[in-house]
Amino acid sequence: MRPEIFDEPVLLWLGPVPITPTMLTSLATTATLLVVFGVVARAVVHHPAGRLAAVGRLTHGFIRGLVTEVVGRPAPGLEIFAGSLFLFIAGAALLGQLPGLAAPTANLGAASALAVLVFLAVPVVGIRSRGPLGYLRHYLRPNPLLFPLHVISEVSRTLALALRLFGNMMSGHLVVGLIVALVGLIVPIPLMLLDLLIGLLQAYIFTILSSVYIGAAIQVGQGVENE
Amino acid sequence: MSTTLANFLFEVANFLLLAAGLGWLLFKPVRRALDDERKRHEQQDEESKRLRDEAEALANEAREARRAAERELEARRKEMLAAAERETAALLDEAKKARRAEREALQGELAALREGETQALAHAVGRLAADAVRGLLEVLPGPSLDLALVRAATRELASLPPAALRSGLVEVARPLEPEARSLLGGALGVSFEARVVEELGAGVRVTTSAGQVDATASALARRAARVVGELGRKAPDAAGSPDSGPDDATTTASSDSATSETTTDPARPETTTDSARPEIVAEPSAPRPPEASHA
Amino acid sequence: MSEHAILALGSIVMAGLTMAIGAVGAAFGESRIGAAGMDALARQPDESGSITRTQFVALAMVESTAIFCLVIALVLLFANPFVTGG
Repeated sequence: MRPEIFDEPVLLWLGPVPITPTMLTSLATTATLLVVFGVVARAVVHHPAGRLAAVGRLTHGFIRGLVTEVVGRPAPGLEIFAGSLFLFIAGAALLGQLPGLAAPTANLGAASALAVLVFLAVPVVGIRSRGPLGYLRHYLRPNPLLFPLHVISEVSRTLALALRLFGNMMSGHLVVGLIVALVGLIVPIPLMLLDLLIGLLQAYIFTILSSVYIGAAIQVGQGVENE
Repeated sequence: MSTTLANFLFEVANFLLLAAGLGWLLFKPVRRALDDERKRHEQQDEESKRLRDEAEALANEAREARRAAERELEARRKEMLAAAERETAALLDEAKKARRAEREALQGELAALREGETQALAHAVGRLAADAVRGLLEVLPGPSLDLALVRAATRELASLPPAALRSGLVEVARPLEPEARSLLGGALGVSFEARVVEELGAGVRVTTSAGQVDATASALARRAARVVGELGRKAPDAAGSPDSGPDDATTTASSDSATSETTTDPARPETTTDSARPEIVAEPSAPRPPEASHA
Repeated sequence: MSEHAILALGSIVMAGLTMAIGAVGAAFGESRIGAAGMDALARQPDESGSITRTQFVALAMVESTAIFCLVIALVLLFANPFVTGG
């Protein structure tokens, strides 16, 4: 038995670019999300009393409440970023429940791509809210000796984000595959339910953690401005 | 190009595409719609607040008006109440006055009636008494009655001053017996002439300058009638005073003799009636006029 | 015993130990979280929504340590760079 955990087969090559199943599933997730929420947004705009409009409002309200609670004030850009993260990870977990498909976030490359995007969003937001020098100065607070610790913390938390998401999504599939190989068809259903629950939970946690990191960058700028 | 790197880069691009698409498709329109809705709600809130303020102002106005009306009503009611009270008091006074006047009139009528009845009763009783006395005196034997009356007169004459007695005028009912004559002469101190006046009935009447001593049957009868009349008149106190004047004037010429007469008369007839009881009828015409004057 | 066999044996044993010790720590932490969550729920039933949400987040965070261990164990088993051709 040689499960494909850290690498995966290449379906075809487009010139020098390999096309993998993860790319296809993530692309499918993106397309589905765009279509569904495009319809929902139209419903919100044009039919404010319908069920789709309710779905859109609830989603928007949920994300906005989450971000506002973490940051302390409304942050529209962060809402878009964190909302996209949540919807993508949750949609990927749901897509992974389809037979024959794996969640795209169960791939280390995809999970680390999301984590790296969060890692890059932190300085971008910090610089935009405080300016380059103001943002860089926060690495030297409260003491310049702590600069390495700041850097290590940022890198390690990015690594933790990526590994947490990847491990959770992958382990669910792995456990379900093992049970199926050992026992049979009916037994793994509770574990599949647990896998689904964990997938949604991981979406929530990933969103909250990235909101906390980016919100900390925003608040760093505010704190310096207030001094 | 390794598959992992290709995956990584593709996922980055994919996610950025997703974020841009969601931001453009979902978040921006939804946020704009929600903002519009909130703005509309705020406008409606303002509008409703303005309307509520207006309604409150109207309600305040109405409340003020009602309060004013209530005040006016209260004042008018008080006014009407006071007027009614005044009217009632006036009516009550009038009624009280009328009733008092009626009562006074009734009382006066009642008093007049009672007085008239009392006087009529007194007259009747007096007449009866006079008749009884006169009858009694007329029944007594003439000489002994004369003697008793003379004795009483002499006792009375002794209280008068002797100087006044000399010019006294003596009137008798009939010629005196010697014993009575001597008694009277002793009392007067001088010899006298007795004038016979039949109307006296019996006894003797001595008129002097100091007073009159009347010890006659007619005087007794008059006296008795007057006493009975006074008794009847004393019961109602109000009617007693006006009758006393004429009564005194008709009975005696002077006040002194009246007192002497009153002291004399009551003692005398009782003794005489007890002692003498012969059959003598004196004429009843003499006592009549005084009774008529009483009425 | 060849060098390859020693490396493979050590990797397999260490993968099991990693999984066991990591699971013990994660289980202990999750039990603490569950006890604390129930205590909080008993004290303030009105805040059940917020408590449950926070509790799940904390459970997932602690669970992630066990997941890290699982990833390490899987790397030891299937992607060990020192054991080639295993």
